[in-house]
Amino acid sequence: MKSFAWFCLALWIDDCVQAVDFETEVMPVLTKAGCNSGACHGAAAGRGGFHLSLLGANPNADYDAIVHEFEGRRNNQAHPEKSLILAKPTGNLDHGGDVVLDETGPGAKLLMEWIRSGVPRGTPTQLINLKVEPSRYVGAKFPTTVSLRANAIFNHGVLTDVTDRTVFSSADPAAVEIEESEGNIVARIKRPGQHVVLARFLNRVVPIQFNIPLSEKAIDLSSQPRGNWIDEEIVQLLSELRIPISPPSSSNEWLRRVTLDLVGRLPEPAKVERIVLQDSPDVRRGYVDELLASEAFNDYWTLKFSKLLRFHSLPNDHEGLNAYSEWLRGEIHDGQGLDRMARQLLTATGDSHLVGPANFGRMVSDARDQAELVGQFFMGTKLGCANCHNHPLDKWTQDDYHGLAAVFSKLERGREVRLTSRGAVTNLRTGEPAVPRIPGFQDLDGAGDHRVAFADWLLSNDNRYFARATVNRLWQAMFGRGLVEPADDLRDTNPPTHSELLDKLADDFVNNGYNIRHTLKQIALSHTYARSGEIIPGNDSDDRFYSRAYGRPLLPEVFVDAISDVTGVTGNFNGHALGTRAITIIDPLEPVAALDILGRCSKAKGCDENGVTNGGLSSQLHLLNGDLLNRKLVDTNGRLNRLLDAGHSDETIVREYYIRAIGRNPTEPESKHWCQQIMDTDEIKRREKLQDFVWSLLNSRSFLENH
Amino acid sequence: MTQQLASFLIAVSLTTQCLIAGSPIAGSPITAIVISPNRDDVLLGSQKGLELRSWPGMLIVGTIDTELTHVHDLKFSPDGRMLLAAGGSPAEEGAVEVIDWANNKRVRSVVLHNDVVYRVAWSPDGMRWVTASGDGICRVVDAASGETITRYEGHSRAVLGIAFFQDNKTVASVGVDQTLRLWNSSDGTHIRTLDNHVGTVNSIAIGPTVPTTDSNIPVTLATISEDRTVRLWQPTIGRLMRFGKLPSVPRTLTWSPSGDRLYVGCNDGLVGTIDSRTMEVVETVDANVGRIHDLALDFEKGLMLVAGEQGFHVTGFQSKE
Repeated sequence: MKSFAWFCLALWIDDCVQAVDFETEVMPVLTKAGCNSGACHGAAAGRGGFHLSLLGANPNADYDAIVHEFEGRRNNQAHPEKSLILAKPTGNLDHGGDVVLDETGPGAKLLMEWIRSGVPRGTPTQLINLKVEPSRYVGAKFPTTVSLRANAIFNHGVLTDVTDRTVFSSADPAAVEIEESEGNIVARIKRPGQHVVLARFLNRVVPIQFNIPLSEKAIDLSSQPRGNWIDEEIVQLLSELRIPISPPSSSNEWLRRVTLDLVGRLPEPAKVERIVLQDSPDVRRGYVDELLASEAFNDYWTLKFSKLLRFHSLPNDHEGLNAYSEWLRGEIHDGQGLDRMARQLLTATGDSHLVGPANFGRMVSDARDQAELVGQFFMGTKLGCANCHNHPLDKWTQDDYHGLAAVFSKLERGREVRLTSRGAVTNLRTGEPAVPRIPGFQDLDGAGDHRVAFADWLLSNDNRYFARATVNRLWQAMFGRGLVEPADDLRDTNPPTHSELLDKLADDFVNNGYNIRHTLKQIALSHTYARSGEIIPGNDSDDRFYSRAYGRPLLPEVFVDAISDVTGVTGNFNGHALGTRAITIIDPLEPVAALDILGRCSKAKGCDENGVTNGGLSSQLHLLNGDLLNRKLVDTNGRLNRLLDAGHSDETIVREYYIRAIGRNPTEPESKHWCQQIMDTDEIKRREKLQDFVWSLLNSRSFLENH
Repeated sequence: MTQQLASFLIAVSLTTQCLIAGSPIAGSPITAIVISPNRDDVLLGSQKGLELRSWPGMLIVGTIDTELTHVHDLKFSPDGRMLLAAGGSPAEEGAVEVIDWANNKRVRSVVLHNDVVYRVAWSPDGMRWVTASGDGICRVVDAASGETITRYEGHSRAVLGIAFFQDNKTVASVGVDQTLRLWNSSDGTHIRTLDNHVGTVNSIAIGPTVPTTDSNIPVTLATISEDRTVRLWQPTIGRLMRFGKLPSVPRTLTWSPSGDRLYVGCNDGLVGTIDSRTMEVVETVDANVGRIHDLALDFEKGLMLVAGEQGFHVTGFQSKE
């Protein structure tokens, strides 16, 4: 009797071991074969009448489609080999997507076994974690190969090797190639630098970062000066990648750079003279403090934040935008922490003509738009994909997206912004009203203002979404690129170039009261920020590790103001007082031809900031032969005419423009060259030549870029 | 003992899912069922073939040979002498087998389509039958010869349901393209498209022509869809009369003889009885077979046979309106 019981148990165990699970075994086969990719049956409308959820995001729906739809046309339990789900991908029946599954391979065998065993759904299993090995690889040479493994931890607690079921894909196949042989996955690294491979299993995507030195010869960067902890992080990675560091920038270069980055202006000639003469760490610290405390800083950062928050006027309602702008400028002026500003933006109600932050919800058309703006500004993420399907490269689900939209669904967005008892958004996945939800965290129960709960979560001590998004943007403002690019696309599958640095910056930001001035100062006083843009042997291909400075174009608003400052002819914008600076024009819908031609973000959609050299052909033509420049060069009250009328020499005039436009004196050869070119006994011709000189200077990269 | 009580007792005795040893198809998805004209037998169709059982005892009587790898529909001719078994091999061929019910022998097997035949319907005069196929095409076939008389290609995607009008001329078909289409069975010419559904239209049923004593219900046509609605139409004038929303996607439907009731089998395994005047669900029965594929109602015995993913189920229902 006892032995019979053991026999039965053995049979039962054998049965359990043999059972093929749909979600954790069958779906990965289909994902790996590309069946549920966006180009195939994972497309919104499916393909050939067969729709699967994108990358297997909805296993229940996929099971339904494969097993039940059209009375089970896609599986044949009596004759498994005749099942469409097997016969099509293996090429036994015509398949628009060609042969994607080897008939004799493990994937096809597993599918066959699953159908033969009665297409079981299996016990719904939750994937708790996906661990890849290595998660980060630092190599010493290239080409080289690295074995990759993936282990899954399910809710039943057993660590399972899922390497053969995991999709490994290279972000740049020219740099890293993925090879598979008999269940072994190998990354073949063909190029030096920093590369990313994504490992996808079920609903998890994990990045693997490969750092391969750019040189075979080790370099010693231990003697490189470190101004603060930012430099430590930067130099460590440069050392790992064996990238040599360019020499520090000159005092003039640093001064122009930091002034443009912190206040959006060119440095004043008097400041240039003073700082260059007395340059020291203390002088630089003092100058940065001076900039951070200036009104120009308030103007410039009001503009920058207004772009991120999609400020724009509403039809027949400029009062709201005025109140919003005044409030934002006041917050920046007062040096309030961004956490306070965030809470006000998320929870404000009232008369939008009086309560500035109440306009936050008026800058978007509906709750879904607001959810996307909240995701973008406060969390640095793009939630938009999750409107129609679970985000293929991030953790956001449709429930997250519509749940966050539901948080703002009861907001009435008229002049009086208020919460109402009505209003809902439909969850497109369920077709039912969405449950208010903090994305990726929890549903919000009960009535009341869910915006407060969201703000509490966002600004809680252990939440770094907002801090990481903000410091990444501040870094981008200072270096021309974020530690994560694009700056509003923070996700696990788009890793930062310096992940520990991003975390430290975020912690430091939070620990210092969400104070942007503090973080900007840390960056501005680092040696990393003070490097020159000079390319030296070994760092010519570096465009993201900060071994040197990278030139970046000026913002259109900054550029227009800079031209005014250099030419001495103030801006004249319709409806604004003479002398108004372009950076104080907050409304992107306000018609300012020069700014629009130069590539200003004119739609109220929070586009990436463009520099003037990114404005395309019209921008270039405008610079070459447009009124913006030419009219100011010949203006009778302009700087050039004033200098000429005062009888200054060519050399003095050339130096004056060099200092104002490029932030430095001309070198001896430069001065000599220009003086030779300008010299003329005919005063009219001399004047024209000087106009040409200024035109040349203002069209040079040295002026167009911050470098 | 009243007839209803007898029905109830039979139903109780059969209320659990039947899993009978030796059955080739019990427990597997059953995709088509039909009660024989004399109500002594039922035929069940699945990927495993055709199985004959006694009605309502559901004891295995035998099997009928078929070459269909998928069986999607079973339909008796109006005179009850011939049976059509429709199906085929997905993405390969759609076939209809004509079976002589007197001896259960296959008279003819006709391959008509490049994809399975989901539904067949006899003309009321029994002279023709019509197919609805996964290849998006419908064919009108001469019952005597098995030759195609005409074809209709108006649907842009798979056709899932089809019905012949009492006039022996007009055919209504529905499908994945979310439309209900009327066309002429003689020459395949298109008459009208009705497109109020916002999801795949899963099935169609033409209401009885005989008005009841307490209401004068006009000839109507009912459709069910993935949009979870049941819609009633006056197809001859192209009008949507009314619709009702269901909690689950309906897969199959049948009219009561009087036209006052509609019986709808759904994805959630429930059979809903709908009052066709109000479109409200007045009764639900849990068939306990998972997703329902087909329904067969015996109004004389007050019994309902439900077929679905997990086999079949016999239960009593309120047959008197």
